[in-house]
Parts: sequence; C-alpha cells; structure tokens
Amino acid sequence: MGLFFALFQRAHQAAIDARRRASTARYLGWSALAAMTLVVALLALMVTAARLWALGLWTVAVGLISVCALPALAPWLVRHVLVPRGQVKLAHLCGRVSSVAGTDSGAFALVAAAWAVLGARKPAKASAVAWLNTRLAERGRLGDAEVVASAFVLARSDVEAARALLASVAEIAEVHPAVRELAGEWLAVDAAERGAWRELATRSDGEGARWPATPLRFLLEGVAARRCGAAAAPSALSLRARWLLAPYRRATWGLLADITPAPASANSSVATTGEVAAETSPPSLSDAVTALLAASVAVAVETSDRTGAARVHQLALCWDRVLAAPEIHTWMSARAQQLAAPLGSADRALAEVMETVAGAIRAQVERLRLPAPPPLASRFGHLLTAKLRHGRLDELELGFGRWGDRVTSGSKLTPIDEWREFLAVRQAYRDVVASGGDDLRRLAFPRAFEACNRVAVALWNQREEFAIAHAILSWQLAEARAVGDVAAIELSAKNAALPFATRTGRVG
Amino acid sequence: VIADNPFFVLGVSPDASRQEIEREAQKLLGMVELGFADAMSYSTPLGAMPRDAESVRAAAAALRDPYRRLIAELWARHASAPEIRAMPAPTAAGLPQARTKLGWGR
Repeated sequence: MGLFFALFQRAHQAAIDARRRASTARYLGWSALAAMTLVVALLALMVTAARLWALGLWTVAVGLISVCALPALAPWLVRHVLVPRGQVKLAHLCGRVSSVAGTDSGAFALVAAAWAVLGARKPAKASAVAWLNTRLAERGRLGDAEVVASAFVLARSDVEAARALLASVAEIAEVHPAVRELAGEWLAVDAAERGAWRELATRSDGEGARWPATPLRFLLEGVAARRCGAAAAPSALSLRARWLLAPYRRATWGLLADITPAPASANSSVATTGEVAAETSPPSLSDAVTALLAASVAVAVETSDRTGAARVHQLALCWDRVLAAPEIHTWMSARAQQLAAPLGSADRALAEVMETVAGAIRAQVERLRLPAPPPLASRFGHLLTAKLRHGRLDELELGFGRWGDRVTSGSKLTPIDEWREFLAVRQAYRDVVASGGDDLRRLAFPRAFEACNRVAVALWNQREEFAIAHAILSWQLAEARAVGDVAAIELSAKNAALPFATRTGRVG
Repeated sequence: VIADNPFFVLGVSPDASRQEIEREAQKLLGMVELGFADAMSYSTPLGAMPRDAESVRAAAAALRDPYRRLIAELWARHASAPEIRAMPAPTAAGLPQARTKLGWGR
C-alpha cells in the first residue's frame, strides 16, 4: 500500500513537472498513471482499514486512513470543500498536511487559509480573518507565501491592488512552487474574466518556467494561446484534454466552443485610427474645439481607462493637425489685421492656443491617470510632451523623495505595506518612462536609485527583510543597466549578490 | 477659455462691433444691479454659468484689447455644445464572472 502511495506521489510530481514544461502528452500520461496508482492505493487502504475495523482496531483504521489519504486528498478537499464553505482553519490544517506543501508546509497552509477567506460563498467571519492575520504575522519575514496570502485577502475589496501584488511574486527570491501555482491560477482566472487573452498568452510564452501552472491555468493558457494564434498553441484535441483534467469543467466548457484568434488589441485599434485619420482631410477647427470640450465633459462618463486613453490620443492627433494646417494661421493673421492688433499678435495668439490645448490635454491625462499619448513630431507635439513630462517627473521625484525620507526617518510600515509602497512608486516610474522614453528614464533614474538604495539598505540592515530588499536591489540593478549608469551598476550588482537565507533555501 | 469667454459672458456674437459690445455691457450691468433674473446667468456650450457685475466689466475690458479679443473670438466662433457619448467599452470576449465561477471569490 505504501509503495502505491509513493508511486502516486512520484507520478503526480512528474505530471506537474510535465505541465510546467507545457508538455500535454507527458502530462496526460503521468496524470493517468497517477490516477491509477491512487485508485489502487486507496483500494488497498480501504481493504486494510476494513480488516482492522473487523478486528476491533477501529482507532488504528481511522488513524491509518488519515495518515495515508489526507495528504493526497488535501488539495482537492481545500479547493472543493473547504474554500467554498469558508473553512479558514480547516483549510490551514489541510494545507499543512498536503502532499504538495513541500518542506515549508506553513507557507501553503497560510495561502490555503487566505484562499478560504477569498473564495467562500458567504463573506468570511471577521474572527477568521483576524485569525489568519495572526498566522500571517507569526510567519515573520515577508516571502512569496505572505505576499500571496495578503493579496488573496485584499482581492475581496481591491482587485487591482491584488493583481499588482500577485504579479510581483515572481520577483521574490523565496520560492514555494505550490504557492506560486495558486497565485498564477488567480492571475489567469482574472485575465480570463477581463478577456485579457493576449496578456495571458504572452505570460505563458515568456514566463512559463517561472509560473508553474495548475490544471486550470494550463487550460486557460491554452485557450489564450489559441485565441491569440500563438505559435505554441495547443491543438484542439490537446485543449480538450486540458479541459478534461481541469476543475470546473461546466464553467469552462464555453471556452472550448470559441477558440478562433482574437481581434486586434485596443492599442492597435487606436494606432489604426491615427493612421486612417492621417490619410483623410484635416479636421476643421470647429471639430477640434468641440472635441476638446467633449473630452473635458466626458471625464465623468468614461467607461474604462482604455476608452479614455483612446479619446485623449485622438484629441491630441486632431489638434496637432489643426494647428499645423495653414487655415488657422491665415485666419489669425487676417483677423489680427482687421482688429488692428499689434504686430506679431497672430503668432502670439497661436502659441497661447497651443499652450491652452496642451494644458487641457494634460489635465485630462492627469485626472484619468492615463498613459501619455504617443509623442508627435510637431511644435504642438513637443509642447504637449514637455508638459506631460514636466508634471510627471515632478510628481515622481516627490513620490520617491517621500518614500525614501519616510523609511530613513524611522517610520515603519508592515513588510507587506513596504512592498506595496515600492510597487506603487515603481509603477509611477514605469508610467513616466513609458510616456517619455529613454531620455526621461535617464532623468528619472538617479532619484529612483537614491530612494531604492536607501530603502533597500534600511530593510536589509534594520529589519532583516531580505527577500523584499533583494527584490528592490535586483530591480535597481536591471534599471541601472538599462540606463547605463556605471557607478549604480557596480553598487547594485554588489548589493544584489549578497547571500541570504530563506525558508526554502539559501539565495546567492 | 469657454466657460468665461467674454463673448458668452456678454451674450454677443463674435462679429459684434465695439459699439454693440459696449452697449450690451452697459445694459447687462444695469440689469445685474437691479437683480433681473434673466441677467444673472449666461449660456455657454458647457451649460449655464453665473453672471455678476465683475464678470461683465472684465469681459468688456477683454474685448477692448484687440489681442485678447482675437483669442476670445477664435474660441467663441468655433465652440458648439458637444454631444457627449460614452465611448463603448472595448469588447473583451472574456469569461464573465470567471473568479466566482472558478472558485476565486464571490
């Protein structure tokens, strides 16, 4: 019987490894073997337990069943029984004894409990959440399990923040594969809900080795790859096999029906609009003014960031072409002459109009927190880029300054909040870099480097939060390499290479 | 540039002569002083805005300056009430309520 359970464990692990390498045939083969050995092992267990029971040794029989079957059945129990019922403490217990938990079983237990808080059909009790927070605090230093558990709890109220946290798990050097699998599954399900198939397909292509897939994620990745027409997309038969092995088959059946390539993304449609617009006649000034008014009024009715970004992009293109057209210059000059305006009034007035329009577009971008429209190679385009860049750089410098000053002044946050603050300032940095390109990246980097260095050193030396300090230093090193700052590369490389211990082994 | 455009504040056409503008400003100042309800607001493409004696004087002064009138004319001539339509949300063929259906939340 023990032999069959050992064989099951081996086959199950091999199936997981095959899934991580996206090898459907091997995954199917090992899964079938694992299922067969599990059936045989369970039969042998039941026969043995029945005989012990018949001999009056029922306590031994129950003990035997618990010891042998629970580790293998724990992941299933957690997913299908304890999570829907919101059994936080039992999920924690099952997670601890689960066969997939690995050497640091507390990590998977913590995440299983957080999953029960998130996935419960009824809202979890406040006492259960408080109990989970106590377990979280007891774990000590922040690692991938603590980030994932915090994100699951957060996902009940703030999905965006949870998404950012779960995506950041890949940067934490402490690795619990079972925990990463659950984080990856949440991200995949979230992407499926948003219809972000391209995001899911790209991630599965580029980060497959870093994001081990659960059967559900494996299925969703396959659907995404098929919809996006990816080169490594599974065949229809493979996809059906993945569907068969994944849980919640009734809910995912619809995904198999429509597996044709997805339409082009919103970004490309925006670009297409611009291209088409360039071929047609320039818009009139009245159109441009009306579009500007419409954009200012439309802030309240925007349905998503993407539509807001598209509107602002179209607005910038429209004004760029109106201001470059000769009609407005001719009208201004003629009217200035009729009004007996001072010499040069027409040019001055045109510059003032440009300033006003660029200011209004910047206000839209800032208010809706949109990415800046692509740079335009005109006088108006340069003015707009400078306006957007200026405000964002100031804001970024302030953000990094406040962050660095807070940490060095001794004001402490919980480790997860320190990590979230880093993610927030880094996102602001990335937004700025995306809007301003490499020039702005070089301008923004010194401030980011100084703040990151101060915070990482404080986290490492004073709080011994090695995993997040290491992640900050690693990002800082990658960024220093991108901008080619030799002194920063040297210091960051030295710091990022410092060895430290995690609960899953030594890093560095 | 639209909400406080001098042409809208005074309620005159961008083609109005200097005399017409002065006459209208004087008339409005009198009406505002007497508290006439009709004179207490003016319409713009962005909706009705409140009018007071100060804004009427400022508008008349702006239109006496040829440079400021040039800019005010540009906006007033081309501004019309925008028709606001929410841009349709991008059609994402996702799995509705996937998180709920696949065990990841309510």
